[in-house]
Amino acid sequence: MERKNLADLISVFQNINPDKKENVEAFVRTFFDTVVAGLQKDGIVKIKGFGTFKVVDVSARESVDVNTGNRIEISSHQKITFLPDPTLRATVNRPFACLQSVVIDDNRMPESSAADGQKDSPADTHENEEGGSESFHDYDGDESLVEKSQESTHSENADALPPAEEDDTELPEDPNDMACKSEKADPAGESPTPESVETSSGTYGSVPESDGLDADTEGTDTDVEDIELKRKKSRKFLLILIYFLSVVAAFCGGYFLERYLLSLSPEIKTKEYATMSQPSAVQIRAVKKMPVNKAATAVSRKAEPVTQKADRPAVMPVRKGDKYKIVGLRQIHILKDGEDVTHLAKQVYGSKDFAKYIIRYSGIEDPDLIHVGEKIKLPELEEIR
Amino acid sequence: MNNKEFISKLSEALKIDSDRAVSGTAMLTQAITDLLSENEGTVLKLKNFGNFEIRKRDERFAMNPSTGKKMLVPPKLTIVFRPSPSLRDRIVLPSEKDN
Repeated sequence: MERKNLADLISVFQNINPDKKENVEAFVRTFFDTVVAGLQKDGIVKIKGFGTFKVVDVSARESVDVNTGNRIEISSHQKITFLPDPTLRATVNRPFACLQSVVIDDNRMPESSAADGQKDSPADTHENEEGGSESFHDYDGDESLVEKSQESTHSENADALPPAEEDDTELPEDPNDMACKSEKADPAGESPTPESVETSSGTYGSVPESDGLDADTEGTDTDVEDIELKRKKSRKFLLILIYFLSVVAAFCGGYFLERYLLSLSPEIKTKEYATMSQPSAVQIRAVKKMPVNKAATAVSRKAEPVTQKADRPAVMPVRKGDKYKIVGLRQIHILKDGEDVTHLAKQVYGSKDFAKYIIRYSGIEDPDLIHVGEKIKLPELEEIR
Repeated sequence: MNNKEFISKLSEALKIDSDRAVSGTAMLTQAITDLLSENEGTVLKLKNFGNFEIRKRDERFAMNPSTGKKMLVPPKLTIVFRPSPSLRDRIVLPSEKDN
């Protein structure tokens, strides 16, 4: 902590205001004496560009004696306060002038807001009243992803601020690093263009100041943008990868599940195969003749006749959409070369539509796979009225 | 005492024009700021008046009670004046005046 006294102030003042040393010294001393006089007279001294000295009443309050811990009363008294002028505040805050308040939105993810393209309306501007932002109360929240919003640091800048862009960004670890990198007070009083606000996308938005102070935030903003983009890309990639893996896992899982179920009972296996398009009931009978795969055939033989006998009574149940009812056996026909079930149906019943009854009654699984010499059972049909 | 009165009093005491008083005030303000901004934690101690200091307010979370929106207030530097106890003695306070 460095201590400066009146002499130091006078020397600095002299650098700015070159004059005789005695004049300079007199000025400084008289300045503060006038303040005291003014406080004496009116209790308030307002100096443009500097601030306001005020005598303020403090009401009596109960307190505790520090040493003993007993309750004591602090009697009402008066104190002298100083409220800096907005211009002085801005001058003093120049290193942090580029920073502004940001609205925190806990609900939104970082990339979703950018992807959605949603833009909230600028946060309510809150004026920095004298003595700080009294309209807010401190909130102990956890650091979360933030959006930018616009805040007029003081009323002078209210007109010059266009709405800022809004992106979700993360809080910097060290707020000191967010201080504007290059802040040169432009003595010419150049007011920065609105472009500086639009291009900035750091955690804190930049505020163009119209009172002759420059603020540059490009360095920090582009870095944060890049990091943000990279994070978004990596997250998207991760999501795609997870989706792909889940699909693959589902396939594998289904395959292994089926194998496990099949391994549980062999009967199910053969029945399933019997009902599948290949091999048909006809093929199984053909296999029957071959010496190879006796076990399989034996099993299938067991399965096949059972199904045939069980599922084909003399009178078969009527299915939905049937116009005819199977009431019994009409004829057993041995399939000849070049004959087809449909030909038979036309021959015997008069229409190809009756083929389905023949197929059903004969227990033919696949009419394309019947061969010459096959015994086809032709049903006796009765019209349903 | 408003600014006009202050300037007039100042110029009267120094026997200078009000314009010079105004410019001088501005330059003195700048001098104080420069002095305090040189190094962090510099205190300008003026005897029988008080201390001027620049303090850093850390960033904090704030909430607008009406909207319920949470905000992050950035860090800032503020100028702080701590009056000297002898200043109170110099100023005969109105409450004491009555007594």
